[in-house]
Amino acid sequence: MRPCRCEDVSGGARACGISFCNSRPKREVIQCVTMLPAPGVFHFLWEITSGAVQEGATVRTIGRLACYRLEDSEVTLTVRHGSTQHQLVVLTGFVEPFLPITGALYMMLGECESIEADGTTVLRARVLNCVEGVNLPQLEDAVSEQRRFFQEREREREREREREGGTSAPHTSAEGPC
Amino acid sequence: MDFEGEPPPEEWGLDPFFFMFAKLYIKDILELKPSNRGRKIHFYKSHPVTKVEILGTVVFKQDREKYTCYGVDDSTGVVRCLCWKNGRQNKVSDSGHSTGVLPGARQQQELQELSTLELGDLIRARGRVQTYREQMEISAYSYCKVDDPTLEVQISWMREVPRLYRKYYDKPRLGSDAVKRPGDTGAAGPLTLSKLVTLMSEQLREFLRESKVSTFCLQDLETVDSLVSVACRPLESVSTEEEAEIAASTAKRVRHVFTHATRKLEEEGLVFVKKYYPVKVYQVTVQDQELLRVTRQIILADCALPCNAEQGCHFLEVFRSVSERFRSVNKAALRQVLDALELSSDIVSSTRSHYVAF
Repeated sequence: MRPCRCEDVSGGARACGISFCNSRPKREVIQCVTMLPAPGVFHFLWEITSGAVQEGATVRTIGRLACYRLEDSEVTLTVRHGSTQHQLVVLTGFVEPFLPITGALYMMLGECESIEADGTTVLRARVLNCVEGVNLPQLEDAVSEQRRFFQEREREREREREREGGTSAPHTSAEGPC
Repeated sequence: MDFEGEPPPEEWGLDPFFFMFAKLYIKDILELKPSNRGRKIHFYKSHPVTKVEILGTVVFKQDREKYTCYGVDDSTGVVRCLCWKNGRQNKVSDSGHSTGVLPGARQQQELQELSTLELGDLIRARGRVQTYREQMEISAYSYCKVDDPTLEVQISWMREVPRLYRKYYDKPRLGSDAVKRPGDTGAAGPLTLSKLVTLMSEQLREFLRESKVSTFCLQDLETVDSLVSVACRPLESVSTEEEAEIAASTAKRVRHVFTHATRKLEEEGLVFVKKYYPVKVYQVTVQDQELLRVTRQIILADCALPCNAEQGCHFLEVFRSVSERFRSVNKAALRQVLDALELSSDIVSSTRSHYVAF
């Protein structure tokens, strides 16, 4: 017997009706417990604007707050890469109220809401943190190091699969999470 | 090892993984294979994993009476982390403060703040991995909110974890079959001429060590039954015509195997050629008392020189002097001689290449 993990329905009563049970947690609890969001893979802002991310994918990115439109709950994040200024629109409905500091670096984690016809990507943030003061080159290095590790690992696994199977099975390898 | 690649339970404690909080990616934690022997042990590439440490963003929160379940995302995966609420199980540790015997009201409030996390906060948790309804989750022994405004903690984590994987986690366990032992003749596979020569050289080494023979020639080896029986083993695969010719005749095979095995020992320095005429006579290096005496005298003489007073004489100087007297002694053989002298405390090595005699 183990303590029941069924949902608390009201004032201490358990959904299953008893305090200790070995029964399966009730269906609505199963749905709640297993519905974890997808992991937010780190992408640089310029990668998102150039279309590396599909609609519905969860991403994590970093950019400078250019402007905040309170009435639309929208924020524009920008970043300069090479000689181009890339920008992205982020919907902040879920993270309001927050303190907007124009020009400061923000890290967001959220889903890709839509990709417009003209190529602009709109993200919806679930997490928006101010990270002003971060060492951007160091962050880029760390992210590249992690990506390199995952790519090596994927190559190693493919080689092992080929060695075992003889024929390489076709598989779509998502780019290594980072 | 039974259970296809799983080490037996008596070997689990020999792997440091069993005791440590492994800093695995959440993706790997979710893919941990449960042991066939029970659900409490999981394996990452033949390492037994019981406890892990994770650092990630809270993306999901579920508050219960006895625990709070946080979904932790480290950008490779999201895992449920159960943070227990009762005082016995929950050790909320903030970096560096000691709670003291009776925490004051302010400290209690601080502890409360550190133990309550919201979506978007960074959490560091250490705990046991367990399976619940066929999904991996972590039951935290300790957890805390990490204050990381400039992402320094996350950056150093992103740099540290691949290094740990490359250096420790992805390496096979020490002592496992995956770690090849030196001198492994690769007994699996067909017996080829080169494998036979390697086998013979090992047999010869053993024989010389046990019998304490000082000098021998190839004809003498042919009188030793144990060595001849090894040399006469039929070959299972030949790669060249020459090898096939050698394999066909027993006498040729025996002569070929003995010659090459002795040459191998000569390269390693265990034997050297004492006499070439009328017949090649081999001398076991460390049994040649004359050679040992002469080497010691050379080192003694060289150490008397003022330039060698501090460190002793260099290996190459000794080699030059010795090879004037014993032409067929190579560097490997001289190393054997110097090791034998050091073992009998006649000389001392002051550095890796310098020797001193007293």
